[in-house]
Amino acid sequence: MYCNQPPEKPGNKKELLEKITNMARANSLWVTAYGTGCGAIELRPLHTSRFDMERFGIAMRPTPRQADVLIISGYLATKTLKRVIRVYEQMQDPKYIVALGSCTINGGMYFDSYNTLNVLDKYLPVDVYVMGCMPRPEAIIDGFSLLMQKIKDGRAQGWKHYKENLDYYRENQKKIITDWDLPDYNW
Amino acid sequence: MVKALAIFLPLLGAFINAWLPGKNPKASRVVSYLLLTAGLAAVVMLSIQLGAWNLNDLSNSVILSTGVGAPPLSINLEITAGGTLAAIVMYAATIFSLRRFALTTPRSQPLVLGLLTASLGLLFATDIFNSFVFLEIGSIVTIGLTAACRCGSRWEAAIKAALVSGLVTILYLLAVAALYRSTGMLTLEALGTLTGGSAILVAILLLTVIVTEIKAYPLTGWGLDFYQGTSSIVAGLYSATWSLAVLLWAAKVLPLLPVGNPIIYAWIGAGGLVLSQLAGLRASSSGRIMGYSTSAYASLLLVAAGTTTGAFYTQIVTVLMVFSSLAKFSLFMLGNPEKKDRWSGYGTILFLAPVLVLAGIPPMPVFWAKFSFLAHLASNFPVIFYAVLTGLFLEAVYLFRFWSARSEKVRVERASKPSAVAAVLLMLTAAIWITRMSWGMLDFSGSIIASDGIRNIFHGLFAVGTLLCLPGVFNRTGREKNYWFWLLISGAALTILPAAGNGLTFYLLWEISAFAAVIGVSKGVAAKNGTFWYAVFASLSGYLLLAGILLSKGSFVIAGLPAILLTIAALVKMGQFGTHLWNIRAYPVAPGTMPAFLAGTASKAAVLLLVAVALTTTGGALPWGRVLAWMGALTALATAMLAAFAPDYRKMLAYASVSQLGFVLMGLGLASILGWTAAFYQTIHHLIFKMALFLGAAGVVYRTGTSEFNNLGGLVKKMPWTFAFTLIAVISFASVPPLAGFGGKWLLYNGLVEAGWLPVLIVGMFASVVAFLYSFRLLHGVFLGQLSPRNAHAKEAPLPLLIPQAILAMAIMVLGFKPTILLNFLVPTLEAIPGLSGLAPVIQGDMVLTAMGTWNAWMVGLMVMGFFGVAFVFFWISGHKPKYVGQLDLGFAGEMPPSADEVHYSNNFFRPYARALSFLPKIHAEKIFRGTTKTFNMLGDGVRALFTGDGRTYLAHSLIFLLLLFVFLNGGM
Amino acid sequence: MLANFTSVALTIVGALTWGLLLGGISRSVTARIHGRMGPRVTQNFIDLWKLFRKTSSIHHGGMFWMAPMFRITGAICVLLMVPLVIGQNITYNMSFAGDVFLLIYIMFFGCLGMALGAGNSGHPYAVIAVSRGLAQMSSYELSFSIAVVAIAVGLHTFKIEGIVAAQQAGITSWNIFRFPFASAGALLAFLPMQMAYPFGIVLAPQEIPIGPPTEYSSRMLSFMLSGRALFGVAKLILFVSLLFGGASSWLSLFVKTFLLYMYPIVVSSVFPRFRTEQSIRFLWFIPTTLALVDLVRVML
Repeated sequence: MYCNQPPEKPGNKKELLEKITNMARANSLWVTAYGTGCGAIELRPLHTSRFDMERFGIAMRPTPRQADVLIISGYLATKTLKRVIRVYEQMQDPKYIVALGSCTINGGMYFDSYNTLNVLDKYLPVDVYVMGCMPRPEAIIDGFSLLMQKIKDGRAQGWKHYKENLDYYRENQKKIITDWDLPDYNW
Repeated sequence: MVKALAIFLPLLGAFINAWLPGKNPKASRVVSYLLLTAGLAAVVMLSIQLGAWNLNDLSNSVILSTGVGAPPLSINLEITAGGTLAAIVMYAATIFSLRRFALTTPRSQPLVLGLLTASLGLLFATDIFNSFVFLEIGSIVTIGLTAACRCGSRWEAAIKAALVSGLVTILYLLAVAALYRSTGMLTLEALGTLTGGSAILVAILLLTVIVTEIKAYPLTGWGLDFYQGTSSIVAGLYSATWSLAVLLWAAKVLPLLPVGNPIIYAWIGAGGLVLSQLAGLRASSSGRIMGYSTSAYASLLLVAAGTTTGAFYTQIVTVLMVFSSLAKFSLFMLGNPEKKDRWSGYGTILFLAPVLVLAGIPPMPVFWAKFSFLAHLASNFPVIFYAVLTGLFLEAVYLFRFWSARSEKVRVERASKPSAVAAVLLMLTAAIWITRMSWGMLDFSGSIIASDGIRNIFHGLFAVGTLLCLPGVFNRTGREKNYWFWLLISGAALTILPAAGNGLTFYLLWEISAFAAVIGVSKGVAAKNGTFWYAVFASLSGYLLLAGILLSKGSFVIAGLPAILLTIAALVKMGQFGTHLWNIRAYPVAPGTMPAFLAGTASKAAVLLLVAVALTTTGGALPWGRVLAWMGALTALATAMLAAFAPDYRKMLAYASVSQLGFVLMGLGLASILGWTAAFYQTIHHLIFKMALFLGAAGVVYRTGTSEFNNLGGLVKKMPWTFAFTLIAVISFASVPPLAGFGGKWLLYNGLVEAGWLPVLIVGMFASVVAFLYSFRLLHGVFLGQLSPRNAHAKEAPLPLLIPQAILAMAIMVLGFKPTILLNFLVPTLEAIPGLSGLAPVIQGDMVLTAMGTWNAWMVGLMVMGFFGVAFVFFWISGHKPKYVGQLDLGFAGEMPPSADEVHYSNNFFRPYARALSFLPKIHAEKIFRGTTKTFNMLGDGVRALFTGDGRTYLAHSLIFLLLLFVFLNGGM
Repeated sequence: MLANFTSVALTIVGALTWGLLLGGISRSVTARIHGRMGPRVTQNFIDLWKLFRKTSSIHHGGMFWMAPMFRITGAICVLLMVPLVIGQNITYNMSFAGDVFLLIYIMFFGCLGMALGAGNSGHPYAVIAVSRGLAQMSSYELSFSIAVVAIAVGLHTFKIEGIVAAQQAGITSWNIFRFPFASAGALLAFLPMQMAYPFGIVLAPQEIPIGPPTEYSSRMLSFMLSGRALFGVAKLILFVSLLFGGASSWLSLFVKTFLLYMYPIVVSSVFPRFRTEQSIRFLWFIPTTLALVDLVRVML
């Protein structure tokens, strides 16, 4: 019923074609429409005529199968982590994670909460952190341009790192999710 | 004198039996058997010796005088061939039932033998007073036999019979007295010499007596109560001996009665037939059903007495009465079981054969008599003909309901088994004998389809269709085991059908194929309801066909009413215009490959009939072609919409089948070369894709045991080949190029535009687009979506089902890419038919041209396959290998779907479409038919209100009947 | 022969380019209507290339795998059945092989393939979208086919060349003027054909995440999108040929298709969405009645 094989480990491609493709990837970021925390409210203005993220080729996709970017918008509750892992793993390579707000970096104002993750990096490979509580839309756009630059330079390899160190990530994830009932692989 | 006594050997048995002490039942039984066998031999030998025995002329008669002087002093007997036949049946029935009597009520054996004696006496009596004697003996013995049990209902039945026989005695004696007073003679011939008032008096009295005794409507009531009340064994014996004797005696007396114009019998009979059979629709117990059937045959006797004379009359009446009585005997043997004793397998056949006899289905013996009789009526008494046909159809309806209700659980009492088998064997022997005698009426010399090409197409279609259904009949168990036999018979009859040279041959093969298919359907599990509907609609189309054939004097040549009747018969067979009710009930329950045969192959018989009608009436054009085309278009649209909402795979296919046949009708209605080309193309294509679909469905049902969409889905993982063939068939019937289906639509649309029938074209196009709805539903509901854990064990369908599908899928591909193979044959064939108008399509290589359109299937096919191949290869070699994920690995908002069933969208499919349709008034064919049924039931209730169940009412009926006759005959004379 | 193959190849490449470009333009236009900047005009090329070069993707079975090929084949076949520029025989491609009836039916090829792929994905939303799409398609095809039949019968030919050739006597000979009602019906049917609002019930991102292709990703999705771009251009050329006098030159082909493409974009921008049954009923009544007027006129 579900996937039962580990992911294939991607090889390194450093060719001209890859560079051109990276340009395309940078300029066509499709974002999973998934708000995990309060920061999701700051994403809405990005659609409006004032900020208009479509001019960077950024668009929302309603299904993770077609998306490139997963935005962790603010604090990530332990309950939500399970869903986020599945959404992330269902996205197709290459894929990137943008984490918004202080909560994702060190827990922010929820640093001592019993149900909020403090360091997101231990559970998912974050490519870009956008700090602030909450970051303004301008800051988010700034974060996106940073991501775009990383992609262009071929440095946004979080997804590769995740696949290569899946055991490490799983171990951390399973520490948090005590009632782990996900399939081991979600591809 | 001695010779005459030979006839009354049973009487001797009766006396011996009465004397023999009851302690020794075995001895008395042995004596009875010996005497009965001797009696039977004596009657037959006497008949042969006297020269009366002549099976080719049942009216052949010899007078056997037994003494000196005139009656009543001497008993003169008239030995006839028909009488001998009846005597054989009577003896046979007595012998068959004696064992059961001996087992249940040993003391009634003298009565049994007495009843036989009385029956034989009445059968051969030539004298009105002797008849009276036997009539009295028979009545008293019957009452005794019935009352022997002394339990409630039987007692009641006996009392009613006694009341009626009392009244009959009075009336009869009055008639005898009047006759003797005016003529001084008591022979039957003396009746003819009566004149004036006494003639009227005797006629009225005797007619009332006869109608009461033979239980014709409206004096049926006591008979119904009697059959219902008495035990089945008594009823069986009664109907095969006494009832038969009375009927044949009445047949002897009726023509001699001085009623003036005998047509009055026909009117009483015809009216009574319709009314009594209406009432029969409401009957539920087997006894009452037999009672109504008896009433039907009594009415037929009256009609025959009123409309026919001489040897013809005797022949018809003898065959009708003898074999219907025998059939009733065997039904009574089976119908009312007392001890439960399951007897599956042959039980169905045992039960069905008598029903088929009573309903007059070929090649049963009754059919031939009915056919000749109806032919006579059709050409001389059209109104009576229609009435009789209606009555017979109603009778068929309740008989088939009776059969379908019982066939599922035939329980036969052990003691009745041999007798039932023997009776059926007797009937089948008679069937073979009469069929052989009537062989000359059949004609295979020149087909009614004048065009060799068309005939060969149909021969080929039927043969191929039947053959492809045969591999899949393997490995069936239980009820379904033997359906292949009926499929084969039906297919064989169909294969010969196009060669039929006259109407009778056509009708015979049509009915054999239809009813063999009905039996085949009845082999399905839980096929009760479906079988009944199929049987009813098959009889309806059969009777319409019969009416059409008979009204056109056995050929198809007369236009007008017969042709309309034949057209309607074909429409019913096709399930068009509201008659699809039987298709959607029979197909889903038919076993194995039977629905493939029905939908794919058997439905083409209707096309053949339409073609035959068109060719022979006007040489191609039916005057109501436009109506036909509209019917086809509206049916195609309505059933396509219904198909989209069908909850069952095979039911959807049934709707789809009807819908696609609508396009055939549109083509035939056009009566142009293009239209007919389209119709034939679509006919052939319909056979191919519909068989492929139903064979696929057979595989699915075989592996999963269900055809409900809610239990299916995702089977593509388990049955990839079935899916592939179904997919090809679906793409084809959705008329998407480059597969075969598009050609039929293209030709049809060109034909419709050529004729200027644009509204029909629009409805047709709409219907063909709505086909997408159900074609997707069909593929998704069964093969795509989520595989339910219920079907996790399913495997690929077995090879005997897959190989025919592969052949059919291949045919679809070939026909799709190279339709010119078929068109090169079709177009010249149809061009040669003079009655077709319009221009023929021009074929240049692979190109087909009409006045306005072009179509190059080969190029289109190459283009589609070429680009598909290029895209495929490109995707393949570009090195991108998608990873297969499990069926529940869905982008599901981060959740994991809990089970396959919860993410499979199947229930309430196309709900928005249903909502959008909701403004339409719900004119369901179902509702109309339910309304019709309800109306008939109400009429039936009204009619049967006459039969109150009170013996006094029945006496009153007889007296009122007498008075009415008096008023009527007196006024008339 | 070689020239024909070249023409076919160029037609496909050109139509794909034009289709993607039109898509980009439409996104810009929509953005401007919203008061935004909008993406680059070449955004669709970038998206397509990105999707094509994604390194992983998933599939759910054979039909899922083949559906993009069905889609793209269907689109190419429709494209090749329509002559591009009147008078330049080389651009007629495969249009000799069939007439408008073939065209109407071959348009279903891609839809059917896509529906099968969606069904095989096992995603309930994909199937809901297909059921909506088929219900809607069966409704707009009614008015579209009435319009086509009215025009074809009125002009006494089913061949697209014939229909185009009959419109070459100046702008008043265009079918949109000769058959105004049929054209109105066909143009109303054009909106759901292009999945424009208020008929955009199939790819309804709000409730059934973009409908049939919801499980498609990466290269398969790129095939789907190219198919859609090609199919869009094919339908544009078909409508230009049927209603707007065809194209007598390359310039007029581009101008006419561009203008026609803007029509659903503009309508789409200002309308909310119908419910499915509202859409079906609208399509049954308004466009069908309009198209019937001309059909009756032709019959009389």
